[in-house]
Amino acid sequence: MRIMRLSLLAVGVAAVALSAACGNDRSVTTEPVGALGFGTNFLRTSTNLPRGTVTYPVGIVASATPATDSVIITLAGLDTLTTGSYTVWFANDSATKFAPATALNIVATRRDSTLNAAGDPVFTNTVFTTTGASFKAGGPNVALRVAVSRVSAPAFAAADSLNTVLISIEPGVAGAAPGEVRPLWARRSQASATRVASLRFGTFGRGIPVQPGNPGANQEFVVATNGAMTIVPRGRVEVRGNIMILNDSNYFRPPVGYYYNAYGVKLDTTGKFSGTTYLGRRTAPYPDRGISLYEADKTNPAPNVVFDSPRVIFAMASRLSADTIPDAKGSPAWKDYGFVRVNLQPKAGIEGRMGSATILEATLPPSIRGR
Amino acid sequence: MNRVAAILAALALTAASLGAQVAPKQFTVTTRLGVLQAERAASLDPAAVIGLDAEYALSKYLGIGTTVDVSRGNTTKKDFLTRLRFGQAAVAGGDSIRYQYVGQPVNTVNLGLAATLRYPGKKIAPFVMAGAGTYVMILDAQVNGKETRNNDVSYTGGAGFWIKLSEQAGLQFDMRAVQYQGYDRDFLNPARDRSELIQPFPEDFPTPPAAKTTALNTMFTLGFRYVPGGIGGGK
Repeated sequence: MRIMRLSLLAVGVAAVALSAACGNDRSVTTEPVGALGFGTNFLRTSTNLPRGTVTYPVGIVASATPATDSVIITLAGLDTLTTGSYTVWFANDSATKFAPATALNIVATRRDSTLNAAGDPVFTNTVFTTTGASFKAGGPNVALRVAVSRVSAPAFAAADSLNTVLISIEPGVAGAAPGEVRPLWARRSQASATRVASLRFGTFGRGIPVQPGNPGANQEFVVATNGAMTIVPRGRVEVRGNIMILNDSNYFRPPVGYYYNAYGVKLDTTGKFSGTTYLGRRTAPYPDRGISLYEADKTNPAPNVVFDSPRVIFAMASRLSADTIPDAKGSPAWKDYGFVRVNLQPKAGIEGRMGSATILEATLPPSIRGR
Repeated sequence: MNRVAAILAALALTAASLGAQVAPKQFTVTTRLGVLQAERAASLDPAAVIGLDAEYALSKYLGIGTTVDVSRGNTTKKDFLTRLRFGQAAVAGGDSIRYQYVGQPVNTVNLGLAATLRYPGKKIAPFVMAGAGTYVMILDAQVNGKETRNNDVSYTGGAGFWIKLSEQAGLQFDMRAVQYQGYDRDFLNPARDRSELIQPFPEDFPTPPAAKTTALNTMFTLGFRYVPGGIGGGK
């Protein structure tokens, strides 16, 4: 009897062992886990970063007829501001003396485009003229021409060298020196023979902490020169079920006073833009999605992906759920979204309204947008 | 502690009456069959194992010998998520991605030298054993696209008991802990070192436990013990 029990036990153990050895629980490549994913790459877009030129007067110091010492500034790619205003400053080359230029003659040209019955684009320009000590208006299709004379900057003495023109964003009335948000500037020393210098976009002066190796008082952090960046960001958008993931990398840190965010662009049944959805401020990638990179212009909220020298953001991400974005709810989720954009926007601008400075854009495939 | 002392005392009192179960200078061979259960961090499912022990009894209480364990099981699929991408991401239309758990069968051979310390009785002989050796993990060549194997040191320790069936035959039950040194879980991933492992939805899939450089396995086996010379499992 005992031998029989032991034999039965042996048979049982053998059965378990054989069952484990001969199980058919193998990888089956025809059975994906959960929903399919659909994705595409971000592409760097044609530039629409803040850009422009400065045309300096002939004389570095005031001429015999100072009223004719005009400075002509052309601007494009500016965002409209709400909590600040663009202010023009004159400075010497070492930026040790600043003076606000107050009497600005501004000509704004808005170019609207439509399609005629033949399907050809038709452009319509609308010109606005105004004056003032500063301005707030901008827009993706707005070009500005600002004419100002050095005599409109009383703090700038006749003997002072006009070697730098700076455009800052001031939260209130300009003081004796520009605030920390100094995104655009042009130096006379970098001008052409006809005294035309391209505007640089970034951070001028002490808006960023001093780093070893950086220049001193006239330090500058250049993100783009006349709208052209020297860095090529890249990334990818992927949608799986209700979740959209944006993973991108290789950005300059934003100029002081700016931050990166994302927008989705919806299309109608004919493929035209039908609206935008704000997808929020960018964050650090997994597993630090809770860390916002909104303050990466001045501080370093995520040292793993935000570098101080060179001033780059190695990686950014957004994880978005259609469950929390009403516009994205649909069947399937994210239907009708044709584009996703990563934008650079001023903090003094209108958060949630898509600005002009798109850095990367992804064209979502029909498998996501539904047509 | 009192219970342990009582068991030891009972064994001591019964030893004389049970008499010797193992003779010195004797070879024994044990074929074993059982199950191998790896610790969770090893990402290995329970596997069937067959084993062969050959032992030479140096004395009534001590034996030395060799052990061979051969197991065949599967990796824990959900620990190996990868993507199958169809289409070009950079061209119009984008791509489609299937997320999959990629498991594969694993054959493991564990070779070792072991010493056994036992307490022979008339019908039953409990024992403890320990040993060291090497293990070889052999993966599916078709899944991995090439011949793939890895080996390193292994340590074994365990306990069990023998039951006498006849003068030359007996049964053996044992439980062993087998630790693989130099263990690399990524080795078990057919998509290792490929960009397909970078998946953007980490929150939506289970996260495997942190990988370790060792893998502790628990092995339960039932063996048939044979004594060519005449005494097996009992006198």
